[in-house]
Amino acid sequence: MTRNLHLPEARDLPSDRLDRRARHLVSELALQQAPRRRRRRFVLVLAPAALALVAATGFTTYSLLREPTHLMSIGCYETASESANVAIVDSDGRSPVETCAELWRAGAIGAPVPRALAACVLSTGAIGVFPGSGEGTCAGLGLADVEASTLAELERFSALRRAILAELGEPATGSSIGSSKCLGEHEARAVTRRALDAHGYGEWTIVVSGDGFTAERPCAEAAFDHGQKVVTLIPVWR
Amino acid sequence: MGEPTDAELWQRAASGDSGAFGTLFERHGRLVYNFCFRRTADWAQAEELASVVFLEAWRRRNEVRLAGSSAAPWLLGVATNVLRNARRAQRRHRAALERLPREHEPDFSSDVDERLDDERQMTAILRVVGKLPRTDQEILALCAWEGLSYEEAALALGTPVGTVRSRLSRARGRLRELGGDGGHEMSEPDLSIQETQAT
Repeated sequence: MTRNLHLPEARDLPSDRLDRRARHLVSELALQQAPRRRRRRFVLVLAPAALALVAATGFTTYSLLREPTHLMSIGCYETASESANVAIVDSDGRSPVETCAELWRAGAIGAPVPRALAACVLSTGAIGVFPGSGEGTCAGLGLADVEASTLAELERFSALRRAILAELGEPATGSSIGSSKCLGEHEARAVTRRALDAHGYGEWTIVVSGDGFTAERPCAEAAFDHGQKVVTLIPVWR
Repeated sequence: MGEPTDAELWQRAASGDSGAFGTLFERHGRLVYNFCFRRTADWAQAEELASVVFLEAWRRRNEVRLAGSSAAPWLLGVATNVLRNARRAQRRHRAALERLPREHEPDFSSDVDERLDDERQMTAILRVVGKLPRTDQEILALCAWEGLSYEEAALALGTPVGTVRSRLSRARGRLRELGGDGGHEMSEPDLSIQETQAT
């Protein structure tokens, strides 16, 4: 016997429940912000202060942050502004300009495709790629250019990630979750350490998150923190 | 002055404006709620997961993936990650979920029967779709069920556009094979399925 299966129609939450969820969400977010408020204020206040300092002394703020601290992803900006729409893509070891140019050509950011792109170090420590004339674009935004040494590090770090994820599986894409790969803590630590040493990251440490590996959560996923030089092994379900 | 765009709301949210984020919830909550239902076949779970998705999106608001003017692809990308690791995500936000006022009345009293039908129907669909690799299921849900473009789905999943295209094609082919002995074509856009049952 065969029967047709059709996707059920979309439904609404009843409006009172939607309102209640929205109110709850906003109150939770306010709650979550409270402990961070001091830090956020610091950022918001200091930035204009730093700009004022630049105007007064002729110094450039971007010299404060020449080295990016976040290499896992790249922001491809629609216009030459840090407040523009941005598409963030995983870094795959290629130059950020090349990665974003591909996204532009695919029509994922906007049109027309800019004639030139410039990679800059954002105030957050991440890498942003902006449409512009290349030279001078980053300086115009008060940011540092991404240097050649960073491009080399991107490639090296990407190779490290690939090596470790080839062993543990790649949870970020989901393509390996359903596979037979399930390395326990001991084995995951061993392959991770070998990869770190082989790729010149011998000073990095390996930590296990949460309550550790259990019979219910026996498999390791890897997460990387380039700034802290840490690989975190996350115990997950099989 | 018109309504603020998603990009404007997101910028305000990233600066700590929780009210702007609440507006994004009102704008996209229904989309996320229905997406979660289509991946779980459970309306009650979908309602809770939709909250988790927005809590998780808030946590990651500085990792903006806003391409174009709509936050929908980014939110569905977050939803996909939440659904992959639902238990972990729910545990992370357990305290927040426990503070949600309990409902005093039965849910959806006016359409409870229809919702039960939905759940039965969706369970049957997921039984077939569940035979696909997980990423193919995700791409199918984003592109065929939610109507994202290849590029939007690529951004949502952090996957190259070409991969989305090829996996969607593969998923459709596989579903045709699973559709029955005759290899019936499935209609777009909902990829309805002919389920063969033992009699």
